[in-house]
Amino acid sequence: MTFDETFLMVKRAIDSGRPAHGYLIVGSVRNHGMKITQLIIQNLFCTAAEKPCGQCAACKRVEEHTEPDVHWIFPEMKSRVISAEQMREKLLAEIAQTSFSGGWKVGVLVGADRLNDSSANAFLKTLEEPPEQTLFLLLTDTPQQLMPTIISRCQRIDLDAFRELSEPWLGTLVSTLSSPYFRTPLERLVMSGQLSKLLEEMKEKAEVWVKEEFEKEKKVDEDEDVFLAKVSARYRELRMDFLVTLMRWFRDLFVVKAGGSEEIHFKEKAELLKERAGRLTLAQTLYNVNAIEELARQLDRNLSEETVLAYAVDRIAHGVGDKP
Amino acid sequence: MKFTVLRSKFLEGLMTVQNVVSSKGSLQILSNALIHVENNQMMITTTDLDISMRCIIPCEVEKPGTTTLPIRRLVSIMKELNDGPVTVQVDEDDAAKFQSGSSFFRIIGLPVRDFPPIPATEGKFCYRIDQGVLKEMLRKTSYAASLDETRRVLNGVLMAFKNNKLTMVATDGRRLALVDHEVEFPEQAETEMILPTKAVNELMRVLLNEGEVKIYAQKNQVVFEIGSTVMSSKLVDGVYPNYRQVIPAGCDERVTLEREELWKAVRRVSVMATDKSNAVRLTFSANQLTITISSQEVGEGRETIPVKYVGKEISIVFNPEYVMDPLKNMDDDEVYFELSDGHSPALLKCSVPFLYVLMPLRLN
Repeated sequence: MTFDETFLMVKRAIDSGRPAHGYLIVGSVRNHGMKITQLIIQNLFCTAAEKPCGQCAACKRVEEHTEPDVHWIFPEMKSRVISAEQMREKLLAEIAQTSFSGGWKVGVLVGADRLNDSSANAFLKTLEEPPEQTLFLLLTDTPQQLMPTIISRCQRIDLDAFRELSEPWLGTLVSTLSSPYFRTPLERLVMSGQLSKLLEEMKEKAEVWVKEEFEKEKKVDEDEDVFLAKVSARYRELRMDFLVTLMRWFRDLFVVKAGGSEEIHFKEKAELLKERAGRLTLAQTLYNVNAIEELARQLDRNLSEETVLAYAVDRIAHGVGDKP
Repeated sequence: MKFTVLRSKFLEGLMTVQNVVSSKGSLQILSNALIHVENNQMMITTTDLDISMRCIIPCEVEKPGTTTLPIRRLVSIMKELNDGPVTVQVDEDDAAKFQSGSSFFRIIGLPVRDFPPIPATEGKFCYRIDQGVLKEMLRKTSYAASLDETRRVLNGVLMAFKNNKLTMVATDGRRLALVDHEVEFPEQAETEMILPTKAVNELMRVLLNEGEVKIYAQKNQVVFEIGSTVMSSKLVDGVYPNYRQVIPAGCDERVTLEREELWKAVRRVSVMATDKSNAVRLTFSANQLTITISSQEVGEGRETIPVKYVGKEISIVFNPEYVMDPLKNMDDDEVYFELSDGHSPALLKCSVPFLYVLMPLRLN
């Protein structure tokens, strides 16, 4: 399903007057996730015949976050959480009242995984039984961190397929993965070092980006802790892209081994993948996929990135031939 | 745009609307007032997205137009200026020049297109009621509204236009205040709405004691037109609980009490209340009401009031605040206490259509 098709699916539900109470939008919070969120809201408020036009005053207000009936919630403070107080004052109080212009009311949680137990619980009842013409959009790139009670009350829109690591990291990562130097433990250590270096670069870039944003928005009152928290949040987004790419690689190996070839992501590497899969058992390729999932979990747990990466690269079966 | 306005009139207009500016701080435009001049009138509008307020004042318009200016700054300037006419000229970049006598000010405004479009007033039907009456009704009920954020439908005052009456109800689940007033309207105009507490407070501020207020009920908002001032507010989105259910159908005993005497007595003994034991005991015995409050750590207080009472002895415990709230918001000299026993809800009434249900506390 393409991005446009995904949006059309939601649009049909809205246009027919039967949208879900809440949509859990899983994907890049900055990129496709934000894009579909905006489109969905514009579709509700747009005044043109062909919705959403993106041109009318209402569409512009949605884009600039100034539409009075759309309530945006972002993680705050240095802990980057959405607090119960924030939910009650800025979202639930607004949703409990009628809308400003007489139409829809929308609550958007950007980074819904940053809800803590108390804020999620404060939200549950309203999410389950919102007033009429109310829509909640929950954006996240780590849905596994949401409470199951929240997830079960939302319809899921998966946009992870449209996630892409940006260049030059993507090229470097793919060429590292296609490299034949995964045979000896020492070679594997060097390769994991290369991957660590990629993450290091992302971290630096995240800091530059956030600094630029701060300067642009002239946020002088925010302290160092908030800055660092924002850098860390930005870096995690990039790291997620990195992990998705890693996962795609080993998923491709598994798919090829299982006999599929049409559905692989790295079509240009089909030959290489086929050759490597030939040296592996199906169980090994499946084990690899699990190992990457494990890696993602370990990274979330704030363990040393270098160590967990080295450990994962070492135990994965790469299917590299004896001779380089 | 260019106009001349009397300083006193301008200040009066600004003061009427200035309370409704956003404290949310997210949208800078909300701390500005929308100023529109045309046909020798100035319309000043402010909104915090929950409540919008508009007032009209006379002015001499040389060139009509619209702009938005920071209201707090405007008020400060107008307060400081000497009395007399103020000439205002606003250029295309929303910079306003104020000239009055020897004083000159230039204020930078914001473009009009950023100001949220205020929803139009288009009520199918308009209810008319005396301002003083509406104010009184709000005063007699609003204190009972719930502050509990988890019970949103109770965070306001119910305004029910039914059976040719306006009924106002507020409750927090422990006490309920209700007041009725006859209003004329056709049957198809029957409606119910919950006015949020914030709007109640603002409305009570702008209501005068005389004159008429027109009320327009719309799907998502209610509009109050008070002379040249118009206030609109969002409503609480939900259905008000069936409050009739909690009003006791009949009580065994009825006692007539002096309102002020009772209020003062409860107030005096409540000095002994603590956070832990905030409960006052009312004991009705033969021709006597004893009000006591006691706690093991602090001590005790007792008041005795002679009453006309011949029924069975009843001892009932209340939160003292809940007893005093209605008493201090009433004007009658006499109030009637109706009760059945120590653990059933009690009723407080007076000569006007007012009713207050009070749930007793249970002490071990």
